Amino acid sequence: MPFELRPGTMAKLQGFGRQVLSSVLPAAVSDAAPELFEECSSGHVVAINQHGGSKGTGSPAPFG
Amino acid sequence: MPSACRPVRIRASLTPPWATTLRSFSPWAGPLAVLRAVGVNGPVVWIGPEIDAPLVLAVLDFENHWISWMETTSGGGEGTEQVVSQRMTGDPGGLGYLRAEAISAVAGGPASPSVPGAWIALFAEQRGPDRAVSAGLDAQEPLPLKLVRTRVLGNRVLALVLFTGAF
Repeated sequence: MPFELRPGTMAKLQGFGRQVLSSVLPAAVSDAAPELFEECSSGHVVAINQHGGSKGTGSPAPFG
Repeated sequence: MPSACRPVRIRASLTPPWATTLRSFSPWAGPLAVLRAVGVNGPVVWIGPEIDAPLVLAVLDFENHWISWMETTSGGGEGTEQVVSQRMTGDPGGLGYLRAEAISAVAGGPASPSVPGAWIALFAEQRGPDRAVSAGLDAQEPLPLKLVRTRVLGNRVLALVLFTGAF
């Protein structure tokens, strides 16, 4: 989900594939729903920084 | 069921805008099979493997004229058909119709409520490419906003796409 979504609002979710735009699905946006994903090879938790790249010791999220 | 040896005209009962769209298929002039199911509210998924034709047009005509349909190659056998293109008109249960119960968190379970930045799995018929594609995780390169012409929008903002494939 895009980081730009605002919690407490209803988002309009839509997909595009095979040159066809799907219907619009309203979806409630909440503040948080934590999920942890584990990288199979290392056992480290997988996370994505807000710029879209994966998080790691060499690529931490910026402060602030 | 119509014979594959003679073209069958699409029923004239279809009203605009559907009839307008259907006319775009006329240059193919190949064997067409039309299946009419009055009062059926289910999804449009019908392929005629018994028809030996390079291209089969499958149409399910609803009484209310809300229809979705796809064009497929007939394939060499059942289950080998290839979708050429599809049309989606917003009918509930039709192709491309998003359902809340068909969206889940990537880790499993329901995705509701949605959260900014959360990973979700979105299921809709024939949305992705025939051969599934996954984007690689990279610390420097961001995940793509479009993967094999597959995009997901939240409030018209593109989301990062990790995986796409047809099912």
